[in-house]
Amino acid sequence: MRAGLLFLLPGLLGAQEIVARYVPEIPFRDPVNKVWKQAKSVEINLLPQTVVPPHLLEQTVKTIRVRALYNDLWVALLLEWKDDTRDVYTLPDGFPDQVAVQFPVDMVNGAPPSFMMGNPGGRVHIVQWKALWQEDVEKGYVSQRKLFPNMWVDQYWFVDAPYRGPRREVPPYPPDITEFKDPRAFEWIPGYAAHNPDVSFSREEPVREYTAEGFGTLSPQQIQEARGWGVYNEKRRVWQVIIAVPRVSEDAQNANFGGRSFVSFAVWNGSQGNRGSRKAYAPWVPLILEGLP
Amino acid sequence: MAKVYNWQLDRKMDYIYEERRPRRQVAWVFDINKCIACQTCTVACKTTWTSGPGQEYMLWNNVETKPYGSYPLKWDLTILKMRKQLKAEHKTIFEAAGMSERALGYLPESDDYMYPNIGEDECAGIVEKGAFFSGIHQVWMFYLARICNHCTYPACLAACPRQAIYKRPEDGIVLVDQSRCRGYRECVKACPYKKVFFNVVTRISEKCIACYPLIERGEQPRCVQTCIGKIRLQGFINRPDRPDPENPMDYLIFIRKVALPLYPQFGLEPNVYYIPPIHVPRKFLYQMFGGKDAVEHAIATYQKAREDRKLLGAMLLFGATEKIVHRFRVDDRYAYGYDEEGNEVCRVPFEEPIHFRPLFDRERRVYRLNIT
Ligand code: SF4
Ligand code: SF4
Repeated sequence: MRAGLLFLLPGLLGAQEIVARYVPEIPFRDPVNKVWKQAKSVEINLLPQTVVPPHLLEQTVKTIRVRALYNDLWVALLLEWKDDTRDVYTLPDGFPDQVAVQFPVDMVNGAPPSFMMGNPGGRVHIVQWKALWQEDVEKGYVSQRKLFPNMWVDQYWFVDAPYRGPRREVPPYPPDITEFKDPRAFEWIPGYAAHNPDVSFSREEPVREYTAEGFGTLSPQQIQEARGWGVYNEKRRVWQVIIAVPRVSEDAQNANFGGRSFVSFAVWNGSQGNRGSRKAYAPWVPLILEGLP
Repeated sequence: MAKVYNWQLDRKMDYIYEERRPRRQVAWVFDINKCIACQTCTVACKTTWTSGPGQEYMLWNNVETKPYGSYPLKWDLTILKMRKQLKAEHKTIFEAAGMSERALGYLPESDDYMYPNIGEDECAGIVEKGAFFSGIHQVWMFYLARICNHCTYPACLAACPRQAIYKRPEDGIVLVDQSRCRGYRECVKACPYKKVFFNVVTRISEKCIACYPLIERGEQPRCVQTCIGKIRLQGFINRPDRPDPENPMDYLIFIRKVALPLYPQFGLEPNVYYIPPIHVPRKFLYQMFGGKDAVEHAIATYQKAREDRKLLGAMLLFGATEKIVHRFRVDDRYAYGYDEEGNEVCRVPFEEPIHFRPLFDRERRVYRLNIT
């Protein structure tokens, strides 16, 4: 009964659709580029995730504004939402702001799988952006020393001691993960040594592609092609994030886009402790690539 | 929600998954009366497992002074208070969770981890002038050594929406799958003992792994092997309704009931069992170790251990061998420990042999300061 209800919801939410405009060049890293203005902006209502616990109890992000562009190779979305705080870091008690878009992979008679991250046999293609990853890309990996500049450590295994800064500072400072060289030193980093696909100290894009077949099944794709960029507008207190995916891909886990597809959204407000299933989401919205059959 | 049986509460309770006890359950007995807070266990664990970047603030094993010590700060007071405010003192953290959460819990602040030694060696009150000379004084404190309890009903496991935490069927060790975790910290929030930690460098969660590489080859974990006070014994317990009197763990926990779980009222069926400290106000202990009857019985039994060869024998096994003791027996002179195959792994005398040596050693032409 639950699944039936979920499929009904998009219908209830009205006849919104996102129309992507064809442009020759997509400004992948420039959310304020005027090319975006060519696409119509659509404001989409978000709901708190309360289907599977833990729930989102306090929903702070209520809507998300979306514009879409496409060219011969890419489909790109510009996502904007209001968030009073720019939450970038991840601390034991701190979470970064995030956004994700989702596209259907397995369609049944033209209908997408469950918008709750798909269902068994109904895969979805998810691309997630995190403010933390944006910081990693722009300023270098957000490491222990960036988070706790005054932290002292006697020793890390297989990292030369005493630790001296570039100017041989005294007292010496503990080295940063970005300064580790000996591969043996990385054996003391469990998530890295266990090849957790999300643990990576070098990042070129602030987005990751995943595939899912239901709640709790999110797993990173082998082939990472998505591009993204996020900027926080301090004045308007708005995140502006671009997420772009290939229009047609060899990757069987990717969505392929014809003239008519679907997209859905999830937003996390870090300062409210949003993460994982504690998110605001929107069910499927039709995504029309203007001018395509 | 499934209904599962929690023997420590002797009732059925709600849990997200069906009851599925491991083939055997890893367990520990800590004799708090003997702990000297030397922190050797803490350092042994730290240097073995958490000396990497992002793990700096983590202490999978920690030893805190009660009543004022706690790491992370106020972990126990906070969850006790939450239960009280919800008037849920008779509910487990699973039953008190409500519809929106999988367990009642809170996420500590980063700063809560910054004072691992807070309150160390502080007594519960002031020692009146002169009280040192007039016999036993009334102020108290004790050391509480803590590791992950490898719970039968782990809250960390229940809370993970990705099922990245699992309990091994072969020994009940609870692990965070380092290749699956995405760092949501639902486990950190849910574990009332706060024994899952977030690694800020890998951005995923980690916890005590019970030194499983040692356990798999029949040896006790590092914190047990290195314990200076010989307060620890690690072994396996059988099902509570089928204890084996020759298994020292079953004997201490199920048969003699001298070792008690920490905050069993939370409902996790934790598997570190404490011999309560005998000089501490009883009310404090009742709250921590499962109520009046359990505490009074454990202390009375412990205080009579001198006249109780088998009990004393089981307690002599603590710190006597690096091997896991599966079976034990006592005779007039010794307590014997055996491994899984039945090989003797330790033989501990009830009476330490005493040798007297002459004050002056003629052969080496030296005086001895220590002649026994
Ligand atoms: S090593 Fe043993 S005696 Fe020392 S603090 Fe740890 S538990 Fe206590
Ligand atoms: S003590 Fe905490 S971390 Fe350890 S198994 Fe129990 S709930 Fe999990």
